[in-house]
Amino acid sequence: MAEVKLHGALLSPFVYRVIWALKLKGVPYEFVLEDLSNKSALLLKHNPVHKKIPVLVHGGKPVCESMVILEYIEETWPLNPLMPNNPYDRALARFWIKFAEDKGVAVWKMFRSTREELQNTMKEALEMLQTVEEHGLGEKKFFNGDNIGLVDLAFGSIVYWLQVIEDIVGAKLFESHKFPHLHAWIETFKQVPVIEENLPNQDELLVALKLRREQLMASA
Amino acid sequence: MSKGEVVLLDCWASPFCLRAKIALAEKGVEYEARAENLFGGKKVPVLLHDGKPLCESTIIVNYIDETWPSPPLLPSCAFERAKARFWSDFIDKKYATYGKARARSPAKNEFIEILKQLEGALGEKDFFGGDSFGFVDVIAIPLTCWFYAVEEFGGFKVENECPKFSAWMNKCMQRETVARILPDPEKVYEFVIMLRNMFGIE
Repeated sequence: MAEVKLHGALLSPFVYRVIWALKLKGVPYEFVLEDLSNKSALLLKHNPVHKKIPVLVHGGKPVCESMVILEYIEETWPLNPLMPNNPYDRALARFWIKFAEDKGVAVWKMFRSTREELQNTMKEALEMLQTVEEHGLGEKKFFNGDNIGLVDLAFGSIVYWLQVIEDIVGAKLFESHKFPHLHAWIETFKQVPVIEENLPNQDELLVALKLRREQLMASA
Repeated sequence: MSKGEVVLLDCWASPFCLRAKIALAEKGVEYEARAENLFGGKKVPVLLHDGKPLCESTIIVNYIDETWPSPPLLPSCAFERAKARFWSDFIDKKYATYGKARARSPAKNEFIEILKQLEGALGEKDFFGGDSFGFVDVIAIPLTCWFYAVEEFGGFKVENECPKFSAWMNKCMQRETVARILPDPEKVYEFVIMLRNMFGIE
């Protein structure tokens, strides 16, 4: 089988999505650590357009953008499917993946907000969570139904990071009485064996993100 | 060929609706187009297949491709499909950044830069997917009927700045489906002027 390499940075939610997908499919890979302040020539060669991580390189051929990578992994290694098997449900899954991409940015915006901006970014993040709680997840065990899927990976990275970011910026949004379905889901998600074994340590994440936020606020 | 009832909630000026219409036409699928008022607040396009709704143009085109597989829009190789998804995502990201306030013209340099990046993706190929008209072509071509307006306001011609991109546009326009479905750019230009007047933009 052709070699698989994942170019990434530590503690990136986008990189974790790809790690989870590869591990759920049992695909062996080599992790290539990138220094984002000093991007390697190889990274720039593989992703000249966006110059970002993650980049998956399979047999020397690069795939960029985390959700494009996830669909590529799903199609290339069909064992343990992470997407529904009929076109309509797949289209719905893609809708929620796009929603996670477009609206999930509210969480990263919150992380980068100054005190003045925080009210607005919190509001955006709350709206996103409300829509997902009511219309995306509903009563299901996973977004993908009985089994974990790509939509779960997309939201998993957002919500797991949100739980840490909330603490750092001093905002309490993801409350269990407001989001009972999402609260139950994130616990179920974290207990899936592959996920449990491949989650960044929350304390380490807290320390790293705190430092990053201090740097951001200092240069703001 | 027809697998159930297909309805498209549509608006003539929306490039996103045009994507769905071109995809349906390429597949030879019969459908009912229901015109929605652009300022009615309803989001278009919406595809209803046997009453089941789908929104988001790229997702709709993907669904059309999977449901009516012939002729295929996405390539069969997973790596080429990933490239198609990447460029489709690139186009939508750039549109989201620069195209939102459609009645204003984007900065000429930024616009040209985007087209040059797309020329890079095209390379020496006839279409984004290779020899045949495919997914990325369907996603990209409808946005070009707004170019005339951009050119008029910006005082430049895409043909001069990005000849390769312009050549690709012409190849797409030679397709019966595209030629039939894309609105006249002058009509779009008049529409843009109307929008600018409505919003008091100079």
